[in-house]
Amino acid sequence: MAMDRMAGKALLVTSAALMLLTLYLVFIWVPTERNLGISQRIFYFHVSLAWVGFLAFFFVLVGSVGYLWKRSRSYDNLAYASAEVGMVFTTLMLITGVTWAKPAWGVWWTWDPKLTTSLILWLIYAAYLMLRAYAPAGSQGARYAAVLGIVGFVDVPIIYLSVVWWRTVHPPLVVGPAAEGSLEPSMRAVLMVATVAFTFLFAHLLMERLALRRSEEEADRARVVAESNLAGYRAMEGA
Amino acid sequence: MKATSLTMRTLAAALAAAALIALATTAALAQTDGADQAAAESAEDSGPEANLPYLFAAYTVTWIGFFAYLYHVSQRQRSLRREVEALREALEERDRRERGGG
Repeated sequence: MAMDRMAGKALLVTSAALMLLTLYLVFIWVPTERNLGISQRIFYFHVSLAWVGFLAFFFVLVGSVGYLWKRSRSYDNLAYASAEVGMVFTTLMLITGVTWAKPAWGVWWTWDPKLTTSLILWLIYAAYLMLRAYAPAGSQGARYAAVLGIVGFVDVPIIYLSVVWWRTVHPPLVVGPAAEGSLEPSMRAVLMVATVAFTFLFAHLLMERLALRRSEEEADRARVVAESNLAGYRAMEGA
Repeated sequence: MKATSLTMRTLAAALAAAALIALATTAALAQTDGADQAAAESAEDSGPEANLPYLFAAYTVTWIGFFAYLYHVSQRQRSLRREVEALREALEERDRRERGGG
């Protein structure tokens, strides 16, 4: 437990230091893009948030497959915690996206394949979290959620490849195996630093959420013990 | 003790977020300082600085979002710890009364 706290603190300090470096690089070091102007600097946060969101949902996939295979609560907790943190990143990715779309395209939103599939991803994992909240407690709810966690991840490669498969107003891919567009080396370096900074922040948030999940389970167990003891006490009083 | 540590971490995160927002804002605004005033005025509608509010909004919302989430997690953690503690105390109290009564 003490190791967890130390690791959490180390992740927080590292992510804060990397964030400061990212901000310096984004606002002072990297040149302004010629066509899009100053609003292009949203790109560094927007793309990093998207990548880390995808990473979080990959953890949901791993946790869900692991749970269905091994039936271990640890895998289920990983999937649940990662889905919630992933939703934070994906929500912020959508918000930064619409904030960039307005100055770049003149509209807040357009039903472009990449935007639409991203919104679908957000809705899938919103449904996942609603299922976790309302499904019966215990293994049944975890099983349903695991299936949704696996099926939902199918949308991630669709989002990534949507600019290759369909005609879209979204810029071409600049990173990853299917990258088509080019990015100036300094811009690529800033994007990498920002992505690493957000990955550390994700790791910290995931650890915090996993600790909360353990507390939720401890509270559930304490409630069960208290209720059964109280029932026994009432029965004794009645007799 | 754990709750205190978590609160301290939340406060540290809050301060870090505030510092980052301040730095981002200052750095972004500083870019306009050196620009020629007349050029800045003429570019108000179409120049690169016209999009500064969007840039500011995107970065601010991101940090507020992370801070709000971290705050939510820490509050929930604290309330659960309090609940577990209260349940434990209630059970101990009942055990004491049982032993005392009989």
